[in-house]
Amino acid sequence: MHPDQTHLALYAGGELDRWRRWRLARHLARCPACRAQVEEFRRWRQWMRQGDELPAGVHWNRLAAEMKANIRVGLAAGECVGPVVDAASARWRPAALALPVLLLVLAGWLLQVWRPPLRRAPGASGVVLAATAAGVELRQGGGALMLLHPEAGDVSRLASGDGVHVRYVDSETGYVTISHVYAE
Amino acid sequence: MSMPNKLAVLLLAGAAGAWAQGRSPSSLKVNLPGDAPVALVAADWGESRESARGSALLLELHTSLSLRNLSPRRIRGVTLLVLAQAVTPGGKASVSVPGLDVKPGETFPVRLDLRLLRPQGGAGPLVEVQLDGVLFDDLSFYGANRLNSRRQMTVWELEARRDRRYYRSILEAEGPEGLRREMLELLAERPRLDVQVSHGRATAVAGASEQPLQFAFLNVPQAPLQLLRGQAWVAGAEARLPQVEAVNRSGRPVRYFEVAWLLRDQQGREFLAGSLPAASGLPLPPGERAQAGQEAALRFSSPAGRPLSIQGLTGFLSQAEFADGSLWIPERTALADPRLRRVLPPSPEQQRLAELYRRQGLQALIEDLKQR
Repeated sequence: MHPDQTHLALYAGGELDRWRRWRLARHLARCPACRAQVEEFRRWRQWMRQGDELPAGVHWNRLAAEMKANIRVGLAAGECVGPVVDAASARWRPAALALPVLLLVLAGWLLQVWRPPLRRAPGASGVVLAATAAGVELRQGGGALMLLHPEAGDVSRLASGDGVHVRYVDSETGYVTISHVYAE
Repeated sequence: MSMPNKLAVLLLAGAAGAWAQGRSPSSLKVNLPGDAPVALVAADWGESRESARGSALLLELHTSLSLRNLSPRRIRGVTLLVLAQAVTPGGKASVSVPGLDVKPGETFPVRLDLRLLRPQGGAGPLVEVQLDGVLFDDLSFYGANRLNSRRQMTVWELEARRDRRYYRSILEAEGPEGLRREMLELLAERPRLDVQVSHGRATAVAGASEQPLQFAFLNVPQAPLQLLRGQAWVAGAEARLPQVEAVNRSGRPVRYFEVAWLLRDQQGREFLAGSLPAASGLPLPPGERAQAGQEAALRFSSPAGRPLSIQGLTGFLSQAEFADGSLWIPERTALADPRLRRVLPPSPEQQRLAELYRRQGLQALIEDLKQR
């Protein structure tokens, strides 16, 4: 079975972890087709470093695979590489995966039960209203109330005497909607 | 399935159940009066969720309320009052939907998207939604009107009628192409600013670099009040305590008025900053003077993050309410001023019509103008 394009691209860029690199190198030693692909990825990498014009015949799908692979490197950075597992330990894998989830739920429950007093920012007696791209927000003490407009188009933000308002077209309902937050 | 796997499935199912209980939408309560002309038909809770942020609770509510018109009249606008006393003492907000044409028995959606941050603990709903007002096609009103939504929704409706008359006249005089040209102008990008408003102690303290900046005024034809003088304390992108003095030139007492104000930056670009409500001396008898202003510090910034330096302030009268409840708004001819056309955002009705044109085309817009 051949490794997928993503792993070949990562290998070509020297961005696989040691364990996967070793396994892939073993495969490449006996697979000329995958070796050819790795060489092709390396040529592309070299070309991308050198020039800013696309040569004729660029295989966009493969190029995309390499870009995706680089993104995955970041995501995979925190993952630990486990040793090869045998059949017996594989049976316990689901339970082992469930354990961290349960610990997370337990921690969440404990945090809900244990409520430390909220520390308020010193001098935060004033009221601040802010209208930004996300919505219009009232901040007071340790609390905040924000009216969002996630599906908004044609947004205008204005200060009015008693607060701030935002007018927009709601793309879901199609209605003009006016959100107003008051400071009192 | 092996024993360990069964165990894992059971444990995960239990955890999922516990999680589902934690995201119940009980944080929001919709409270409509028994005699309200609208009824809540359904509430779609979408992706509402809550999570802990240190010792505080972050709650996001995304809901679409489906309301039915129970009255025998057409609904033109609705304002919902959003109360979050448990989050911010005195904290309140509103969501208004103007420009409606809801026939008796029809339903219409109102979306509420909220984010709340508050200390953990406490029972009961975090947010209560009440009906502040409903405006009908005959300009009659129902509601508690705690937010003065009667006046504001009536202004929007009068603007809507004015703007529809204008576009019908364009259609008659210049045909569909004239209407298309108007819509394209509405859809053009206007300069906009982000704004932050601070109330409280900080607004009373002058900064070292602050300078008083005097207002200039635009004369609006047939305006019942004349703007006399005004100033704000300005430093960079911040304007503090903007105040404008006006005199009642009409023959009738004025109950309320608002002054819209524009900023000019160092490059000569103008932006609509907001509106200053009448603050004192009301009701205002004919010939008497009153102030409009804001006890706040306002900091402006361009959405692109470019620095802004306020160099000029301009005000004009944008609305007035007489003691008998009748309202004055500027005529279309006043808004034809090229300077205002460049800066003023479209009225809610103009925005609705432009959106209709953008989504459904010119024919749908023409039909809409002919219907109402």
